[in-house]
Amino acid sequence: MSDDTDILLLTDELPLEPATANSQRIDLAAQDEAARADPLLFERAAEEPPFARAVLTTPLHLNVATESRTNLWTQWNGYTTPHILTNLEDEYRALRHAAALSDVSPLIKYRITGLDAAAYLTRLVTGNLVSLSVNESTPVAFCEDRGLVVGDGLLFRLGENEYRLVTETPHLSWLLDSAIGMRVRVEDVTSTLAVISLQGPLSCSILHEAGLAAIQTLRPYAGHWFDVLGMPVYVSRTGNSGDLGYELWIDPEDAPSLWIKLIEIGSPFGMSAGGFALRELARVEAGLPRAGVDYLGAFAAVDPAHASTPFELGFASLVDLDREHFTGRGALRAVRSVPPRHILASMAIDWHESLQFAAIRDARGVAGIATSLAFSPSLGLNLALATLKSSAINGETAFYVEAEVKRELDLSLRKAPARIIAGPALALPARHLVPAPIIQRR
Amino acid sequence: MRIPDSSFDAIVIGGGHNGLVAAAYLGKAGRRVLLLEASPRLGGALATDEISPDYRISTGAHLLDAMPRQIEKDLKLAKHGLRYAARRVPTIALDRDKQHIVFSTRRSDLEILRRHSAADAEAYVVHLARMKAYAALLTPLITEALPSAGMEQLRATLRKLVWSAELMGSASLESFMRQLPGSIGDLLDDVFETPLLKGALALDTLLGSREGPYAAGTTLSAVYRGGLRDASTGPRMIEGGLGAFIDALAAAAASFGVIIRTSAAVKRILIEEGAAKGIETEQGEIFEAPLVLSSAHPRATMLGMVGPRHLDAGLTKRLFHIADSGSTAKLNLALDGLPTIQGLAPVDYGARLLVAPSLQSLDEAFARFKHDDFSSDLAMEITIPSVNDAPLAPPGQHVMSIVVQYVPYEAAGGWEENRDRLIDRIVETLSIYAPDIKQRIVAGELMLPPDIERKFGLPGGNWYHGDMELDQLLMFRPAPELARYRTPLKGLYLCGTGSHPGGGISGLPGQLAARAAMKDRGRA
Amino acid sequence: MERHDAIVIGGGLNGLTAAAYLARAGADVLLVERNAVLGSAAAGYEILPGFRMPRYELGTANLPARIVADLELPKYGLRLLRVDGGVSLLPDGAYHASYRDGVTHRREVARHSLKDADAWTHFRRDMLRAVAHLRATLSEPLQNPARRSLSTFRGLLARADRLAEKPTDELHDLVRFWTLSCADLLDDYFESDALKAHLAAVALAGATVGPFSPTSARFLMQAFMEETVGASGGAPATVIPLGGPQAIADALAASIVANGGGVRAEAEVTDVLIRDGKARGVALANGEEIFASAVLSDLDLKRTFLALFPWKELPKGFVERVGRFRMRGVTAKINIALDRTPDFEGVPPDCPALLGGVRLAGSMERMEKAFDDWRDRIPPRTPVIEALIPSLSDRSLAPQGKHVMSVAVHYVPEALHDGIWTSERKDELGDLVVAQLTERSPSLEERIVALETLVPPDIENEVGLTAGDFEQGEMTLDQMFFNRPMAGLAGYETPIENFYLCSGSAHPGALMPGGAGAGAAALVATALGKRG
Repeated sequence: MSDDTDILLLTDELPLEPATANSQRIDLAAQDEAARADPLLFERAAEEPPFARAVLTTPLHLNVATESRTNLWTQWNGYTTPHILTNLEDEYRALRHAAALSDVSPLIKYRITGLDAAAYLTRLVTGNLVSLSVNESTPVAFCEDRGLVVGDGLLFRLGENEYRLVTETPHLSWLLDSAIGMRVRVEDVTSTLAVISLQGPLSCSILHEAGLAAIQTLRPYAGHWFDVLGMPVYVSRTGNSGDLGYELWIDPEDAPSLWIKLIEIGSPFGMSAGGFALRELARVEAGLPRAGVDYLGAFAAVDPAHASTPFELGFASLVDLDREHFTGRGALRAVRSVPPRHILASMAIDWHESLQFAAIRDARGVAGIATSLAFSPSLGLNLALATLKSSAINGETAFYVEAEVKRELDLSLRKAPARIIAGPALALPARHLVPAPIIQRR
Repeated sequence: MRIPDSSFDAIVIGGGHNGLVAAAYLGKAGRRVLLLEASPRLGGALATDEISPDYRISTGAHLLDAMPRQIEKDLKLAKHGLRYAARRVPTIALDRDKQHIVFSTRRSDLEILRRHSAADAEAYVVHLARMKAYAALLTPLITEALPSAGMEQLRATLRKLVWSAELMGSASLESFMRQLPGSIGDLLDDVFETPLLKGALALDTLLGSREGPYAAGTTLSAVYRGGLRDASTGPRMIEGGLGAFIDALAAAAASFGVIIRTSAAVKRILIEEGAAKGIETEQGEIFEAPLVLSSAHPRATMLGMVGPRHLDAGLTKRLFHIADSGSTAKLNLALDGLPTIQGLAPVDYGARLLVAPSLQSLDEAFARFKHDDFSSDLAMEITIPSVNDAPLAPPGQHVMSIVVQYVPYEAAGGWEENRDRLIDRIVETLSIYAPDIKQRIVAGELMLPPDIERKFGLPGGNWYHGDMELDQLLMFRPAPELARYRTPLKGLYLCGTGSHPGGGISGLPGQLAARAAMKDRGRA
Repeated sequence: MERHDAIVIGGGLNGLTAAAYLARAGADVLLVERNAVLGSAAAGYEILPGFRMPRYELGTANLPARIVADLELPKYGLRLLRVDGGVSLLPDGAYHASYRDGVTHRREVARHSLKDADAWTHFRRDMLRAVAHLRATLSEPLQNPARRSLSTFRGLLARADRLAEKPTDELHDLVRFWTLSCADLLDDYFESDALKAHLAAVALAGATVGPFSPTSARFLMQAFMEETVGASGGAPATVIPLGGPQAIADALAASIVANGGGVRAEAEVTDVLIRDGKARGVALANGEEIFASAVLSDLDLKRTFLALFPWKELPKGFVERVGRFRMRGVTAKINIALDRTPDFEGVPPDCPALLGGVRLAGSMERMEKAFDDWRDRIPPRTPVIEALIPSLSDRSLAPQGKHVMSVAVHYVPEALHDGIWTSERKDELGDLVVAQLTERSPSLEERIVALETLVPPDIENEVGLTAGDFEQGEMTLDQMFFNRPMAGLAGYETPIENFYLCSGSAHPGALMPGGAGAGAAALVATALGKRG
């Protein structure tokens, strides 16, 4: 009985309960050392949560507001963010034919550091991180004990023991719970790290023009530090437009200068600033579900049947059941051979104008629910992400939607055929090209 | 001791009674077993020590209360030196007016109770029978390995419960339904009127717990503990103290070929491909075995020796949150003679003596405890083991062992400030019953919850490796994923008091875990 | 000779609900109420001319949506306002507010802890899961294990089977909700003391347990009982009936009358008429006798059986068992009229959550001390104070620019260990509460134009709730479900044939306002052969 190694004894060495984000006391000496070692100093937890303010804005708010011709705003993770800046068609044309610039600072960002950071993440996510080297990133999903997806995101490795996890919805509670017993620090750095997204076929050309030498050699999902006008900027070849694109990670204080510079250089290329509606349209075209919208995290779904395994969400490629332990592995091994209860699918609805609907129907009634809708100007059809009952899927099913079409005070119901599409609706080969194409300014 | 080989059939971590029982059963079944104990001595909180030259006492637990006869027989403990100094040690509630109540159903004993209240004497017999009937409902759940939830077995068990309830008389079923979810205080208030009787019966179920007498769920605890106790043959005192009990267990284990090593702390359990393969000691030695059973605290085992990276995060959090702060202090005294407890018959000095004048005094003590303080009116369980076992002290002299209930882990203002005040309070309270106690004390040793934690390796100073409340009992003990002794890691089993059926010195977790491990291994 | 299908004794919420359901089922039902105003504890009054407020209750309501819909209460004039969940004033000038909107609430929680803001989602999910389970249980007929019948036995077996099908961790969560203390459960989710104190104060208002008592965790889900899963993820709303809780009683009465039933106020029942061991009707204080095939009592268990019956008509031992039914007062009421809008230091004056009321609880430790005082039967030194200013959302309650403040004070014992509640002691309690409120609202004291304090004995005298117990019997596990009102007598039937209990003393009690009335009505309607 005295064999009871007292776990509390371990706490002298291991911070069993990592400091939580808003009670963090960063060791100043360590911070100074970090500052010398690494320009990432600016990426730290906010000293005071900004939530007391009535309106929460990003560091680029004023710059973005300058671009707004509509004054249409929306809310993204609590931050005021532009819905449409000029008009969606023009923004879309710029995105698909030249480039679109947007402020994506409201993305939730966690900085994960410490001796056990790699082991921590290995246990956290469902995929295999063995080949993730420094200055690379990979899409990840993470599950709870029962194998239900808590969230997904993009994981960057910034250093030997330093990572950044970028997600659509916040997960600090789960990330800290998962850190119990591990020498790792998890900090929410959302408000102290600005992010600019530059997507589109000419995005590489614009960055090249901006003086980012050799940017074209950056491989998809890779990242690199650049110096732009004396500002340290971390550039990664990431984004959710389904096309060539980059995200630029920068100190909030420097962000406005970088934004202005990019507008200046990009405009002659036909680049335009884009809002949240554009981001949504692009991701639906790319077939990317959004947490909290297209699926519910395991801790958000009140009905257990509404939470999903990675297999049900089409995240199978993010799961490696044969590697060392991760949270949910046991449960996922057990369900691997069980048929899914529902399936998140990309669907196309052949109709020439934008439709509004929620129910996906088949001959037997409602077969599923569409959670994201978009009319793709490139493809000339409606796209949807929908959760379908698995019983409805057999390859033969003829799906359709019933949309309400309004003409002044007339309302009519239109039946339109719907079909499941495999892979992204819009596949743009440039996203894979290395070196990325560079086109001279027009 | 030289260990001839580094490969075994099974390794047992922890040489407390449950670890020893598990090892002995494995050995008895022909397995080659290695048992490793971190401290230089076996037994954990079951130990006999000298508190002063020639005064020896069970420093931790002082009564063997819940071990089934079967374990004693299976392991041939008598053959290995187990001698009882007293069997069926009676329990006596000490009265300030010298009308001590003996808990028994003997006519002569009931007579004293009748002097307090004739109605209570009648009610007492009924009450005992009723509690026994309630406990009988639970006994099958306690002495057997648990059914697995979500499966046929659980359904069968629940159905059996419904059936047994159906077979009870209407009146007893009605009281059962009403009383089970309630508090022991309310129940006793309903049944009895004598404050001392109520206080002592309540203390009996609350010892070691962190709940007050009027807390919902305490009746269930009482029934559960009753069930655990009914599985055995009543409290016993061991010749030579509980250390001698451990010696007998160790001898039994050794006779079955178990190799026992002390001062061998396990640093980690070796995991390969999701299965336990053996252990590594702090000294860096590696021992291999397809079965590893740990009687250490579930948290120490899973978080400390296995490590969170082999476990799901939700389970890690649950283990981290196991509620297990202690609520008792232990005072061991060396006395130069038998103190005079006024009104106590000479034959009764060897009994288990309870000090708990009323439910109100317990409730008051609990209220203080809740706010990190202790009451001036302390509740205690006292034994004078040397009465039954003279060699523990020099001729004519004695040792006294006192468990003090509702002593917080942390005292407001710190224990440095409060330690002496607590000792004074205990001695003051004792003096009410034994006015000469002060003059008799030769030496003493007070162990506060933090001392118990340190000395016996019991986190929080909690005897049970996790509170014995419904959310940490049965298939939830110590956590739903770890119930039934098995862990998510193949070959790794939990066999300590943190596992079902939990606390009390029963040896059942050890026995049942060994059985589960052998069953799985046999199947594989 | 006046004769009806059913008579309901008492016009509290459950009595009115029972009568309304019976009337809708086509029964000829008469409800008789002792007081001039219907509603019992829900009754309102004018503290000063032009200042209307609930006299006994705080003024919020959590009426089940099903009852509102079944009885078409909106048609009979009931208007329910949904406002934000209120503000807790915390030590050192801090506060925590509850917002219905998910984003706003998240930001509010994040002010105290970013981790807790995420944990809120998890907590809310678990609360709604527990509520869903409870709702499912409440929607099924109550199984009384002590009743020996094949159908009961089958029902119990089916229930055992369903439990066995649950995954162990869900079962574990359920057990934890029903057995843990509020503090232990909250510690598992949250780190912020502010948030924990706020949630505990919301949950335990009016409960007879403290934040550290086992089984107090389940009160946390009470606020979520009428919350819809589809809401945006914020805190549960506070519901305020326009016109006060009295308006619910009025709408129910209108529903009864519209469906052909009768309502008679100022008619006190003195006896239940019994012949051959069966209830035949009631006798009123004025000597009148009214006959009926079924008699329902909306009075609490003790008042029903100890006051309305000759004890010899009751089975042997029954009176003693009724006597053991635990009823304890825990809430005092302070009614205040104000000549200006009060403000609270540290809270933005336009904070919308102020509509849902202001709570002064401090911390869980402070609440526990108040609970300890209650158990020691002394006036609480650190009372838990809930103040609702219904006139902020309902302009009709007070003259322009003026307000009424309805204050519920918790952990106030019905009897003191050293005597009775004298008027001096009541004044002391009133002064203490005003002083504590004034600490956070310095101008409050000078804005008071009228103040009235009601302690539990006052409430008992005026509305007839034994011990001033609003829940009509402690809602502890040994007095809930098949143990309510007592083991062996679960549900609405009583040892007297044709006599039913429809008050909060019967299942589901305070778990669901109006639930006992609806449940009893369904049983009586069937017995009367009416459509249920």
